[in-house]
Amino acid sequence: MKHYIKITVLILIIVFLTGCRDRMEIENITFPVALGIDINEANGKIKIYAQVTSTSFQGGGPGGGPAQAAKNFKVVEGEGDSLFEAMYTAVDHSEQYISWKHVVAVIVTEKLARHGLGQIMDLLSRFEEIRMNSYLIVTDVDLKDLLDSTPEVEISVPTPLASIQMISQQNGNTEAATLRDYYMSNFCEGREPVIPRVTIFEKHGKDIKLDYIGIGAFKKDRLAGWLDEDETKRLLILTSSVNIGSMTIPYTDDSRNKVITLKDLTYETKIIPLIQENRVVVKVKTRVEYNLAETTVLMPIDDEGIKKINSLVQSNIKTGIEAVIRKAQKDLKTDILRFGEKIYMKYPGYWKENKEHWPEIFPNIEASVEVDANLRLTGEITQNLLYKPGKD
Amino acid sequence: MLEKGVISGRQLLLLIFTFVIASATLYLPALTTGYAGQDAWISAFIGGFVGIIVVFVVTALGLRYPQKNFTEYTELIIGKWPGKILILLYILFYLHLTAIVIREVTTTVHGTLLPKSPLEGITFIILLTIAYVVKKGLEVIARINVINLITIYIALFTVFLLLLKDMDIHLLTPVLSNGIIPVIKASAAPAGWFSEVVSIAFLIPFVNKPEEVRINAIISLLWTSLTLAIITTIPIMVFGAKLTSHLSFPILEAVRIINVSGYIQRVEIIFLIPWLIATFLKICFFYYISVLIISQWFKMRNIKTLVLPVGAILLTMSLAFFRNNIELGEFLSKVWGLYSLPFELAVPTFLLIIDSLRKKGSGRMC
Repeated sequence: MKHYIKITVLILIIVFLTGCRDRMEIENITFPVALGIDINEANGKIKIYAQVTSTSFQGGGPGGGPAQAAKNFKVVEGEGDSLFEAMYTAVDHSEQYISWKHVVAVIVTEKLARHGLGQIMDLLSRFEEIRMNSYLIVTDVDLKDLLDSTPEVEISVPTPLASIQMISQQNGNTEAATLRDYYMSNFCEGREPVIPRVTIFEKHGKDIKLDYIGIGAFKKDRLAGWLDEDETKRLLILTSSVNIGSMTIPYTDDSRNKVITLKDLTYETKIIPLIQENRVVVKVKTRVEYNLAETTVLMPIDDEGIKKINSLVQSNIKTGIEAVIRKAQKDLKTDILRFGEKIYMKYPGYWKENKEHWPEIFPNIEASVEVDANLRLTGEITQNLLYKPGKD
Repeated sequence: MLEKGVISGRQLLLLIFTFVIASATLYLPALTTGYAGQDAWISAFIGGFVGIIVVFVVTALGLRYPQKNFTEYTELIIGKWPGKILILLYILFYLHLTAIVIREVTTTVHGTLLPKSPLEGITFIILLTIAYVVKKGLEVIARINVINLITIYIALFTVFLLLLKDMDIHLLTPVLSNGIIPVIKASAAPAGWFSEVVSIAFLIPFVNKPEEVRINAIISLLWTSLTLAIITTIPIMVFGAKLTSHLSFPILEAVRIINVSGYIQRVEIIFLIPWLIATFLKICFFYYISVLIISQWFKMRNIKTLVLPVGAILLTMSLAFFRNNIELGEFLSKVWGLYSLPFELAVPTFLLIIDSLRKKGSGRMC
């Protein structure tokens, strides 16, 4: 008898066990992978485009082979006064339950970026379904075009978007930014956000070619301007720890076909702020190491030659960095160089006093740049095969 | 004696570790960085220091009355009825404490794992399981704890390793830029948590070698301070101090961003499950102490009778005291330290002083 009571109690407990309350078949859920956000400036409404890949129209499967290549995504749209409302009108249009847990990239338009991201960031940070390590990307092309088309190699747009980390590692033309990086730039003292920019550079109907070109520099939550590829590389040397994949520098100023290409650039940058008589002076010291990738110059690669290359690289990087600093100070007027952070870390007292006036102080900071460049390896050959000693 | 269970000094050490670390892991970084910014980790050590003072006071009292616990010797020190009233306050304090911890767990589970399940259901299920463990007694709680602690440490260590690439040690600088005052302000909450070690006052008679309790408790608190300091630095190094103070559960959020080359990601469960068991044990522990004090107060023979009634009280208390997670967070950061320290530090010190004045301690048996 006692056993029966125990068993009954156990069964009762199992019934009440907390578990999957709102159980849902996976076929009925759609998972947006990219979330594009735009704003209609006329009435202030937020418009979203979510690219969903649904399990129910995922053709092929194991052994399916090339059938996979068929389009297996759609774009749902939504509009509302707030981002959340917009996301849930998208639910109405999608005919299925939407789970936002797999959003890998959040793409904002230039219009919204210039208007200010503050408005949408509250939801993105508060909503538990969107992860903090989703990539944040800004684009200057039409969002619907971007999300509704097929890139050349991949099946849908988010895959190349999500590979930004890999791309940036290989060519260093951009730097991946996640939502976390963005929040941190807003919260950490003396930082300003930078967000990579994606654009379409070729379009044939629905087939597009994507390209990451540089980054967008923000001031607080508003887009202040763009940096192009070369400027981005120099900015990365200043602020980031991502290695730059390659860099091409002209051998002489006049001819474009005599170039030296470097690869696998690793660098160590120190930004040293100094306060002299209540004025901020910043010293930038960079040590760059790289391998030789390619040279179209018929020059001897010996001790002398390497010295020559090193000095070329030094002056090239130096002028580049100085140009970026000038651009950030004069044109963009935003501290994407993180000088403020360095000052906060070294002189917290000064920072506390002058934090409010930083936007006025920053454009007038004197910065001096020192570059130390070193070639490490020349690859499988030393001299260019066409090079004959004695002739130049 | 009501309870026959005997635990060893080592088990007590581990129990103290669990019940300080359990709830503090999730809530502490957000609370302390709010006041102290990137210096928050220092406040863990200050809190630990307060805890050590509590240990000295409590063990001094305990050793003067061997074989008696706090409930019994309070009545001997300040008289029967004042003692009864004081212990009544302790009963309410422990019920409240247990209810808060229950709410911490249910809020976390509700907020992160099961957002659509009703809070009442989650609380009920958790309490039912806990009541079962409490019925089995102190020894069982101590032993489960030893097993679980290994998993907590492995989980913590794994998290730390996987997050290494996302950390930036420069975010801990500048150190003490605003002076020590904000750090001391921030220490109020961890001091409250550490001082929960006062609970050993009720358990000294159950430890097989009472004279070793003091040293074990101190080792445990030092170890806990170190662990808590590390736990606080992880989110600071990952998010920076200001963002950390805005997050609901900083360490959990840090675990959520783990992404090792796209293969190892979404691993929060490896952290959440050990944490859940740890807090579960913390509730068991305080639930047990509440039941123990109540039955001693009423001079009941069998403490098991009270387990379910007390559980019913705890269920309603945990649901009724806070309306949302902000209220819970505000209570923990602003009120908890100052509210709990009188019970945890002031009253035992007061008793120790009176006892010394009346010169009636050492070795006297009643």
